[in-house]
Amino acid sequence: MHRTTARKLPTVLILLLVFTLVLAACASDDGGETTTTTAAATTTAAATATTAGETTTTAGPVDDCDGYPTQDVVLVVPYNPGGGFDTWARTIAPYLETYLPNGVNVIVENRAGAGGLVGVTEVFGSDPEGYTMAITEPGVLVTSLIAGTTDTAFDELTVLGQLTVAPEVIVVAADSGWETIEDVQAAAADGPLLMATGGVAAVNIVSFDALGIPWTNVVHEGSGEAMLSIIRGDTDITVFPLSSVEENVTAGDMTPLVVVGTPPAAGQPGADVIAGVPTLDEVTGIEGLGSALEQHRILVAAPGTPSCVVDILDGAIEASFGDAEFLTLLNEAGRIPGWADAASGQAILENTLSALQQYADLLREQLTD
Amino acid sequence: MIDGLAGAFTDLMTWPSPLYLMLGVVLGLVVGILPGIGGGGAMALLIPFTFGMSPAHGIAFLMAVGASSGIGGQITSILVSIPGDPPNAATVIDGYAMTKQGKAAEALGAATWGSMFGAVFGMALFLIVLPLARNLVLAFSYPDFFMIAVAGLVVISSLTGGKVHKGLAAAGVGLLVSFVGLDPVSGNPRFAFGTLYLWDGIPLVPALVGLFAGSEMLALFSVRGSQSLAETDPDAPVSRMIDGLYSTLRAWKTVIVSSFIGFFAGLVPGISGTLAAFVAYGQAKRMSKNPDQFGHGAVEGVIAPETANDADKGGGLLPTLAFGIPGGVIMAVLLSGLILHGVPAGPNLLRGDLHIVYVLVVAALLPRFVAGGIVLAVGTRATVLTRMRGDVLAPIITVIALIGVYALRNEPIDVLLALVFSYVGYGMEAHGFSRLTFIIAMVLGSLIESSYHQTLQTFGLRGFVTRPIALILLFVTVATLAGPPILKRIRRRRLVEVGGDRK
Repeated sequence: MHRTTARKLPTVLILLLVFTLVLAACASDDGGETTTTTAAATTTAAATATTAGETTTTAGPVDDCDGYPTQDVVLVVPYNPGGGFDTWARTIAPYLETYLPNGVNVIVENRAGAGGLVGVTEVFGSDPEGYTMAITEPGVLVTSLIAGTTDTAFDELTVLGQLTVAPEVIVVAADSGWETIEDVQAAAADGPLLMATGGVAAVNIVSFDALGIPWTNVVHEGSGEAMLSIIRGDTDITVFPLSSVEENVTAGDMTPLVVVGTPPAAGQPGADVIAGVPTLDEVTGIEGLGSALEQHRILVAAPGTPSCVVDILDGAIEASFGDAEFLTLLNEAGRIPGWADAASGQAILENTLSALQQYADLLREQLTD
Repeated sequence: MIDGLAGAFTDLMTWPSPLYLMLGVVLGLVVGILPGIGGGGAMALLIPFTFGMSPAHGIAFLMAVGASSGIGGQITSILVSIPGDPPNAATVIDGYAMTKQGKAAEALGAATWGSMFGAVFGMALFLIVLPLARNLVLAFSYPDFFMIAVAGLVVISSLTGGKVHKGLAAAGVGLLVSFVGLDPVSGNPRFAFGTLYLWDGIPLVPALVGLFAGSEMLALFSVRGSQSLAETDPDAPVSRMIDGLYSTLRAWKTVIVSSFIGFFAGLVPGISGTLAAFVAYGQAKRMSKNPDQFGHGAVEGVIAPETANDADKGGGLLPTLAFGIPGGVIMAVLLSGLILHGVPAGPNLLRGDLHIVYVLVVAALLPRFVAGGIVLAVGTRATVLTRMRGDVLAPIITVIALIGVYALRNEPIDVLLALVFSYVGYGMEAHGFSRLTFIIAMVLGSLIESSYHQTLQTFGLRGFVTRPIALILLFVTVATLAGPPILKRIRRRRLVEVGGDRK
């Protein structure tokens, strides 16, 4: 009995190994798993999508775009389900399906890891044929690039467009007694403040350096926990996107001190919450610093994606933002549309890189050991 | 409050809500049975599907999926030792042991009834403390999380029995594995060997599936051979689902204690369900009249974790609704579902119309009863699996398990990890190292480390002894560790005295 056991085990291992590797290899050859799908809740994909745009334009050879798209397109969300990026992706996916030609599906997949880098790295390495894209933000990519935490040249990604831009807000607990950023700067003279983060990002490092406030990082398991610690009074100050802190400010638990980026126009969600709060540019006197640090959500594809493919995708995104139903959904979810086309999106990525390049030493010092 | 609940109930019972509820239950059960993708992931996938529904229907549907996935996970944990989700890990130990003894139906029944009782108690506690929700959530801070995690580690001590060094070794390696990934203080990668994939550490589900399911399948295939999974004595009475109900009723103290543990564990960020299951398991063993049975098919070892990991949903709703800050993946998805339907889930929710809160509570309970009913009705059929030939069953289950592991992150490395852990698990069992100890340490390692450093950064060392909750837990932990040896000494002295008198 023991002999048979001993002999069976290696065979079992080898068979299992071979089988699963074959399975995995076959699955990834498709250029994307189809175990996750979105069910289109609205109109089915129409073959006659008028705004889906030109099939060929300038530089790329005619062959590159023949009949694109011919298979399903995968939209990678480099974060866990339920977050802001995930929600944006799942909300826009059915509309991209509608406005892309040939009735292909847009399949949303979560590939979380390394603070959003794993999913984008995978898209970076995928074939530049326009069948894989990711939703991400320039800040995260540029920070990693400058600090050298990964080897991937994220600045070479093809940007398909921007979905929205939202400012970040520096907030403190309402019962901290601090009303303005000057109060905080004064208090910081006694020693570094405790900053609650869900990880460390460029916005924390650069904005606080510009404000001249020393801080110690208390890392949490996500933004929710970080904000709870502020409300509890265990930490002093934090920076988070407007959409994350809005509810808590309205409820009177948090006080906004500085807006990093451009405040929403009057009437848009969140505008009244930060009415009267100065912007980072105003407080520090550095023009454009805010817009390099605020949160842009962009769609990207692999480097070297043919320009005709980019045009088709760009057109589909633009058409989605022209769809009244989509805009209503966004409004109900409290999300502000902020569409910018592929060229503008590319410019945003480049601007973020050049703006943060000046802080390269600071970023490297803080982010690497 | 009763009016509110009744109103919500009638809301959810008006057509077409029951249809969505049933659909959600069926989907949730299927998702729970398939290893890898959990309730939270499935809920996220289904959110766009709910765009066309009214808020109440959409939320009911999503909650139904989330609630039933837990019950689906129990089925595979007990019958084939595949934990559907990390919270099911503790159930696998005694559940699968009971299956091997031919008592699968009883285990399944006990787990289902335990889940239902736990869910009811959890929601009842939630409603009772609702007015104090804010204060309760704010009362828990880093030292308290640390102490809760340490209490969980103390469970290990009660599981090692006489072989302390083996238990410590397993725990130590578990902690070591948990330290792979980003350093919680500086955010720099540790033991990542330069790859992005290890930045978040060794993923829990592949390790879990490999350690428990994979190793059991290896054992089934190589040791049992053509025998079936269950070794039943043909003369013994056939176990039934109703036996599970009797067992659960008999273990009423365990049910209540596990519900409380689950509810409070729900307030701990991230790992609430898993933590709840382990701590409840350990507590049940300490409270049990036959603790040696644990690990070898004690039905309380199935009831305790399943009750706790359903009660934790009640606790998890508190930060979600009081602050709009989710206490876990299921809550996070629920929150975005709520927001997408225009329900302002945030600090203002509890101050305004409580109707949606009642809908949530009823929507959390109703599907569990339906799912539980389905399992109780047809579960006995599923136990026929356990009478199939082991060497046919094992490869089938292994493949399904590995596919589920792959589906989690679309990562071939995960599958490799699961295979490696299968062999590790097999070896551990063969040499008497507790896999449960290893997993507990692996799950709790990062929470212990991060909450320890967070405490030092904010409160300093005094933080551990100046906060009431942390102090109570510290006392309980010390008592648990020091209690049994001291009691033994007292008993021995008494025996000596008595013996001396007799002489």
